[in-house]
Amino acid sequence: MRKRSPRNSPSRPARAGSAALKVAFAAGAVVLFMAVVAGMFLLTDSKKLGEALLSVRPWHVAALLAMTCASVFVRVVRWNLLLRASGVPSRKRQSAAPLISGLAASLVTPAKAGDLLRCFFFERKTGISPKRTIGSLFIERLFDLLILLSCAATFLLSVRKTSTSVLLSLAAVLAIFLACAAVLWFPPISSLVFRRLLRGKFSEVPRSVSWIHTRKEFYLAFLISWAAWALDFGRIYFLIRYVLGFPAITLPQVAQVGAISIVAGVVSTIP
Amino acid sequence: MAAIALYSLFSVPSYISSAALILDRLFGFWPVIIAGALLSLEAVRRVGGVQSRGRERAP
Repeated sequence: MRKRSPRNSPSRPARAGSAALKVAFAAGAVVLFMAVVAGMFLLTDSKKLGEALLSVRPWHVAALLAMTCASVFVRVVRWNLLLRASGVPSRKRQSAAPLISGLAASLVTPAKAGDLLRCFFFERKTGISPKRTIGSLFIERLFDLLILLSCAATFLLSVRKTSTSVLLSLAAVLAIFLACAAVLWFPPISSLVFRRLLRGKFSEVPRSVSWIHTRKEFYLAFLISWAAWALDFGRIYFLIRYVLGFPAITLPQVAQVGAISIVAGVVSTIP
Repeated sequence: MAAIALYSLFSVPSYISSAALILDRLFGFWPVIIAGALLSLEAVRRVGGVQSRGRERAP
């Protein structure tokens, strides 16, 4: 019997509906963005804010777009490495479009849930089941969480006036950091967590997470994750320091603020 | 959240942190959304093309 290819699957016509859903999400994001911009003009010095926005030069825009492209490219390389490390044959060209589509969906969905679509887009391109690729997504989220928690911890350690709330926050950050590290590096814990949490829905996840840490691509992907976040935080630093001309800001401060704002909504890093 | 944190933690003027957030969204967030939407629509268009060709060939 001939195996059904992803191109002649009977579920194809439904995808026009999914495109309409994406357009609706994007439209919702535009409205929300305009509301946030309007709110900022109302709450801050609107004249100075307008002047700051108009101070942007074409080379600033070029540099910002280059940093965004570099950040996306680095994430493509990372996902490709993780896919290959977990035994999925993948090339950058195949994984780039699903990753960008998933990234776009994650930006307009609560808790970045849209990122899960990446695995389904990848299936559409390659015919490889999401069950085999979804583990890489969990590993990516755990890498991101480890990096953001490291940045948040450096901020909490640098606070001079230690209060109960700072100590409690530091304890929580360290506990989540150790839990993430345990899931990534100790197979029995990862198996237990994924089986309990997902109740066998993604049966391949614990298996891929349990041995992937033995591959060099895994560690390379972890280093690349740092590069991806450095590019994202670097873009905000460039904006404040050079585009808007505020010299007192430093890159570690931007990283700490970025990490805190994301860790504060910790679910946003979990698909 | 990041704009508020910058303002309250590191005394960055609120108009600067707001402008940074707006510009970061414009040049870091929207290009990705647009690229993702275009790639998705391109995939749908290609699938539509394959289906219509399939219908033309059908007896």
